[in-house]
Amino acid sequence: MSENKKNRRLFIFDFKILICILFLMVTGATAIYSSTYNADAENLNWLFLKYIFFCSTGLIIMGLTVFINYTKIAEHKMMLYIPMVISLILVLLPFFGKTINGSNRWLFGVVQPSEFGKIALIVILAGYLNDIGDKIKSFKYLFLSFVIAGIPMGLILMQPDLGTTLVYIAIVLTMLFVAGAQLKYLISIAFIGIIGLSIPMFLEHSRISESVDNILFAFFSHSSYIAYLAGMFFFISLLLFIINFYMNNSRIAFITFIFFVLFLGMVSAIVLDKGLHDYQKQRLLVFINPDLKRLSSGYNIIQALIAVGSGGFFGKGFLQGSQSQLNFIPQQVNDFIFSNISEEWGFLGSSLVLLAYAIILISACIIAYRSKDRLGSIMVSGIATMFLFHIVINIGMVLGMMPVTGLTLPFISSGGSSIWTFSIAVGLIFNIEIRRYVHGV
Amino acid sequence: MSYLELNKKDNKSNDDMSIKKKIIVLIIAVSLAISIFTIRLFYLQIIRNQYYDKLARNNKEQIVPVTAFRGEVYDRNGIPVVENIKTYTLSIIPVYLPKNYFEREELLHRVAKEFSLDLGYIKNAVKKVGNYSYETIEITDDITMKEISFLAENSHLYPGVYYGSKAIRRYPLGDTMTHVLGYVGNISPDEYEAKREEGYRHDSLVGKEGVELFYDKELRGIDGYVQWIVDSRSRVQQVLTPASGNPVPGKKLILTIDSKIQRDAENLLRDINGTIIVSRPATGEILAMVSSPWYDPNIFIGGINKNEYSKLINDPNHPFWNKAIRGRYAPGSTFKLVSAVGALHEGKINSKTYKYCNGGMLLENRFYRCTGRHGSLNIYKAIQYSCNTYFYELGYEVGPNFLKKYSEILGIGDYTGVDLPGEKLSTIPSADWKRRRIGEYWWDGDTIQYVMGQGYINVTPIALHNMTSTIVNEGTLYKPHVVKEIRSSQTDEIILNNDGILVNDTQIDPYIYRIVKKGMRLVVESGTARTGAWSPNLRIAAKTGTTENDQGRDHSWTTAFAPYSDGPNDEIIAVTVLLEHRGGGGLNAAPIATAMLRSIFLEEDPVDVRDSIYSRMNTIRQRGREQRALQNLQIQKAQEKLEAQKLEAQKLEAQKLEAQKLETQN
Repeated sequence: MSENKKNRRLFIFDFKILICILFLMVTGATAIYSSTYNADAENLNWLFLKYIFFCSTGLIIMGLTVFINYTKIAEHKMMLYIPMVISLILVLLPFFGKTINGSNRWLFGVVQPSEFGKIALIVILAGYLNDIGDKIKSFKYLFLSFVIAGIPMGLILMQPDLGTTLVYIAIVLTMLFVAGAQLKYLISIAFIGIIGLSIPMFLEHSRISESVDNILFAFFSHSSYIAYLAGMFFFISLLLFIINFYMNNSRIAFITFIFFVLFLGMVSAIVLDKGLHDYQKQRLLVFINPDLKRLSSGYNIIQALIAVGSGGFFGKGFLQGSQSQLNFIPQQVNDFIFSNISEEWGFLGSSLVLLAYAIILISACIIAYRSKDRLGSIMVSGIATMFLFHIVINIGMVLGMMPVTGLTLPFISSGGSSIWTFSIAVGLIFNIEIRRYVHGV
Repeated sequence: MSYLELNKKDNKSNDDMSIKKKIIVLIIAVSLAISIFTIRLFYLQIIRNQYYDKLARNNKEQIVPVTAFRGEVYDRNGIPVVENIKTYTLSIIPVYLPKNYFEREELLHRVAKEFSLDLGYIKNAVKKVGNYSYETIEITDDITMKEISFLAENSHLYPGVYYGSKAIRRYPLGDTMTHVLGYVGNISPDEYEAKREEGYRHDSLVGKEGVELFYDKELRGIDGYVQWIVDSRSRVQQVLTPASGNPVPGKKLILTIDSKIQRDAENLLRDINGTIIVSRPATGEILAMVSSPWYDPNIFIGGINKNEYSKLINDPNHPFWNKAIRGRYAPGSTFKLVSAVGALHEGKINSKTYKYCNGGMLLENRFYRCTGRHGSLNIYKAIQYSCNTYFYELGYEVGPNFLKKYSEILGIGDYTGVDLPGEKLSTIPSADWKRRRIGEYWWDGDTIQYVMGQGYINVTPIALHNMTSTIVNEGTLYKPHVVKEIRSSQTDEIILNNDGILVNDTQIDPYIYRIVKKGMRLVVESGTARTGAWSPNLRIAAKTGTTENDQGRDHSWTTAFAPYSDGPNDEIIAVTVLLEHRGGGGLNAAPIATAMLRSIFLEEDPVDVRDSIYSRMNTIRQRGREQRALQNLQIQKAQEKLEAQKLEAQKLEAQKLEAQKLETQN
């Protein structure tokens, strides 16, 4: 192929995605302008200007990302992995990290390494999964990939940032699923997570609603009892394992496996009960029961729902939403930005936003489907999962269907790191798409 | 870990195909998520739009009630007797307080400290209505202008806390007309439950007694409201005052009470338990109504002290009771007028029917005594001397049901309908009533008691006053009332006039009433009240009554009217006096009734009149005693004289005998 032809190929990419992103950016700009609008203030709207700045630089970064061959990046994955881990460690140190709202997320007060870490992890894991190929079906390689993903995830949980950790989990599980890991293991992991979360949740709920006079609470409130239970499960599974060593019966092997999963679930329950902060447990609880009135987070959900519901079909109009303009919705420019769009632009505006996301995601999936290699498919599906998870959690939270976590809405929330991260992600999608027929650029 | 490496069959499937299948699963997940969100958006924004729209409006709009001006009350001469005075208040609307628990606690702390209030009281008040209530809770009505200006400047620091002004009820004349006026107080939970539909609020003031209660609806007006647009921190962005939010002031009451007559009556009853009702029978207007003891309604301003209240409520003399309408007493001899009217009307007797009083009547082996031996008397004299024997015989003849019938005809049997709350019903027994209530048959002895106004019969003073009014009007009865007119506060236009509402027409010949009235006049001229109702310049007619009771000394009754004339007369004023445990009616109640009437017609000082009557009574009694002593002395002297004469005669006789002896000897 001639040089000219190669360059021409570079511009054959999905314009639908770009148009949708531009649409989302315009919507985000109006929403941020509206939610920071103050009729009395004469000074410039800094947040709005910041958003414009990050959007335009994000588009440039997106363009730049297209030119670096993704196979090359994946080959040098350790060059990404080491700086990621180092920056995540640095952010936990008091000198480098800045503490905002009780968690260390910002490196030098400006950059969120955990945001960029998502892209890095997707690229690294995709490269690793591509390298090992079919071996992922064995438990050893599955475990190894968990170790690779687990180090940054653990560091992020230490910040603590539950929401982002959940994004990582979703990304890792989906990529493993796409790469061909056995469903049995993935389901077990999800199960361990569910047991591990539900016991601390139950304890916290009992404490808040002051219904502590039941035997379940009395039992689980002592972590030593949970530890006894875990030990019991471990003992049973060990016993069965030894028996099965001689019998080699698949049914006994399955029961052994179940008890082992229960043991791990109990262990994770102890770890999460100790590890999660009260406000994190409460956020999850408020999602389950928004009427827990003593929690101010319930108030946020209700106010957001009121904003969305009062929007109607056409919305109240630009700068006319009473919930947004009178500041009934907290954290408007970040977590609850969608409620502003829903209130001021109504069902029409918010379903258009959903449509734009649907187009981006489905196009991305089609790109993954058509990708020339396994690496591209896994990478794009990881990126699509990241998008999907952010959208589901953020919009679901505004619509009262998901717990309150600080996850941003791609291209609409005002966070700079988030916009750049998603720009890089979209750049990678384009990167993979245009190299379907091109090799070596 | 061989047991973990199961089912290796899948590995043989086409790797490329399996990846593509899994991406299709991802596409399905994406479509599912987006569709669920679209459906949810549709549900929230289209189906439940109205609900959330209302919530959004509740968020930004605060409706702050504005209490309507409570109507003022004037006496019949236009003297204000209930006024409003302005004070500044501090109140809380719980729903507009910060939602966060800690912020709210902190705010309440700050409020308590800044305005030096009791934190526990504030918290309790909030707790009572709940944290999500839109009710305005007043936490104090005693803050200064300075504190208000501080709050106005820093209103953003005190979300949910408001200041306002409020009118407080004041009774400028002090402790007069207490039972007629009543008082106002904070609405009780029960009253609130009963009246919330009528627009009463949690912090509404309601009338608790007297006309304040009876005319509460007229007095309170219609509360209005102001609408505020606020932001999430309760900072007011905009104030809307819709036309429908303007409060409608309450109506003005003009009483029939004359504050001077009322005051005179109160002076007469000071330190005496009892009641006085003064009215104009021609219209039914009550000019004065006193129930003694009474209290000062001003003590309720700003909430009454608990000790003081319990002291009043536990007082054995019942200062909170309006005895004129809720006290029930046996009517005594005043009830004889009922049987007189009835018997005359039905022709059982006429003015020429004479009965002989031999000091009592023998019935069923019991001798019912009279107050004296009156000899032969007709109905005039029977009323004049309150002759029991005459009425014993009359009652024995007519029976209890007859008495009940005429009690009802003369306005004693039913509620009088006076416009005051808490009126009690008089007990008018009959044979049937006794069977039902007591479970015994009616004895003739009961009838003898009944006709005397004793036994089972109990009447309220206002009901007995109705009887007098009917007699004075010669058959017609107008509803007794204390509120003459209800007027609009703004235009002074008369909305309601209570005067002259006919409630009863007895259809009895006026001639019969004139006989009774003549009898009542004779009572004053030379009967039972000849000293007690002494009034040389005013023609008073009266009937006295003395009632035995279990609790102590007799109750004394007098029901009187003046000036006495043959026909109905608009000028006539009727007075009913009841004194608890004061002894004979003619001696104790009659002077008070006379003093009342004389002060109205002759403008004499009532207390002086009463005291002069008492002292005259004493003088007469003294003179009578002296006369009797003199008579006794004369009789003694005469006897002594007689003895002396006898002695002399004997001497003479003896001398004569001696002379004869001498003669015979000689």
